[in-house]
Amino acid sequence: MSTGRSKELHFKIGVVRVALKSSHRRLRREYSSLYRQCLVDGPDGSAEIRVEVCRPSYVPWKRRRYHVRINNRVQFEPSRRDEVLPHVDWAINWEVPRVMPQFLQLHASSMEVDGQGVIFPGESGSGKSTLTAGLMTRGWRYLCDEFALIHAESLRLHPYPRAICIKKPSYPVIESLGIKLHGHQHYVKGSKGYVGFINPFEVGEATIGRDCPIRYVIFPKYTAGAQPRLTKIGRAEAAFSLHRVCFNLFNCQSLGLDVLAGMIRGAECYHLVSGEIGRTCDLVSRLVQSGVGEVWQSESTGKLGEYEAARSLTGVCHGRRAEVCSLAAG
Amino acid sequence: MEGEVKQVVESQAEGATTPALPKEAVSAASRSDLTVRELDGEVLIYDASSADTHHLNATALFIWRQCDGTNDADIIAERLSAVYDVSVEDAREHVSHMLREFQQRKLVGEADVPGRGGEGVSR
Repeated sequence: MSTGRSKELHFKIGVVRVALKSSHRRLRREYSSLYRQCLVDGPDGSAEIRVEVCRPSYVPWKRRRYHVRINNRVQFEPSRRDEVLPHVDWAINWEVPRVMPQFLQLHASSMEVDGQGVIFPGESGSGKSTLTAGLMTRGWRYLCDEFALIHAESLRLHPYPRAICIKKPSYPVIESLGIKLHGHQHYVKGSKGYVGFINPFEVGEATIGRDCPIRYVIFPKYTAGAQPRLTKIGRAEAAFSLHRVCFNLFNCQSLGLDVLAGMIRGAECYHLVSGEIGRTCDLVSRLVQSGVGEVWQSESTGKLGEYEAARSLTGVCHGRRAEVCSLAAG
Repeated sequence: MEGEVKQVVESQAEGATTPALPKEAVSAASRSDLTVRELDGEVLIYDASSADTHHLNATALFIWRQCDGTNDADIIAERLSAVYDVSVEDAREHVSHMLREFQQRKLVGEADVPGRGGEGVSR
C-alpha cells in the first residue's frame, strides 16, 4: 500500500459520522469509492467515530502490521493489505454502540418498505446480508445489514447504510440477483475469509430508507434447500431473543428493556426458515406487502389462554459480551 | 456470539419421580429490584444485579405471581389447576419445577414469614 501525506476524509453514513485518517492512498481511495455517496466536507461537531490507519516503522524482530486505531486506541492489527479495509469497517462497527447511546442497537439487518420498518435479527451466518440484498432488488429500501438502530425515545428505526459485506460462498447468490460487488474487489476479514462489498447506493434506485416505525421482526435462519417458511411467535419470546442480540442492553439496563418492549408492542414477530433466495424474498414480501396477519393487541387481554407447561428462559445479553470483547480487544 | 440460553423447564421425563413440593409459603416480595415488562400475557424480567434477562411464559408468570409469601406450592398448584385446563397432578409437577427454577435464578427469595424465617419463598 503506497503512502503519502496523512489525509482526513469525512463521511456521513446515515446517522453515523466517520472521520478516516490515513497516509495510505489506496485505502483512502477504496474507502471513499465504497462510500462516495456519503462523503462530506468536514466534521459538523456531532459525535464522530475517528479511524486512523498507520503502519509503524519496520522493527527486525516484529512482524510489520497495520494499526487500525479507533478513537485513539488500536482496535485491530491486520498484517495483510487486503485485510485493512474490512477491518476499518469492522472497527467502526465496534465503536457504534459506544458513541451512539441514544440508540438501542441490535445485531440485525434493517429495511424499510412503504414506511414500515422490518428487522432481521440474527447471528453471523443466519443469512441476513443475502436476504437484505435480495429484498433490495425487489424495491425494499436499505437501512443497514448489521445493525438495527432504534432511537430510545421515538422507538423508530434509523438508517446506517454501511456497505454490505458478502462472504465468498454467497457470491453466486448475489450474482444471481444481478448485483455486482463494488469494484470487483476481494478482501480478507478474519474468520469470515474472503469477502466483497456491495455499495447499497448502487443497487437500483432510491434504495436507502428513512427512519420509520418497526412493524415486523423476522428471525431468519438459512437452511440450504429448505422450503421457506414463516412461523408467528409471541412478542415476549421475540423480545427475549432480541435481548440476546442487543449490543448495548447491558449498558442501558432497564431502559433497554423498556425500549425493547415498547418497540415490539407495535410489531408482528416471526421465525423464518430461509432457503432459495428468490422464494424466500417472495414469501417475506407477501407477508409485509399484503398486510397478512393483524398486529396483535398491544396489551395483554388478561384472559388465560390454552394451557402450556410452565417454561422460563434465562440468558445474558449480547451487550455484556460485546463490552468484554471490546475491552479485551482494546 | 452465542448467548447462554438454557431451557430451564419443559416437562419432566416420563417415569421420573415427581419431586416433593415445598411446603413453605412462597414469596417474591424481596425481589422488588427486578424490572418486569409484560407482553401479551408473558413477561420479560431484567435482573440488574446479575444482568440476566428472564422470559416467563403465561403459566410460569401465573406461578411467579402467586409467590406472594402466603401461598405454598400446594395452593399454587390448586389455583393453577382451577384456572387452566390441567390436572392437579400435572400442575403440582410444573409448580414444583418452576419454584426450583425461580429459586435457582433468584427470582424468588427466602420469605420473611413469621415462625420459620424461610418458611416462604418470596419474589
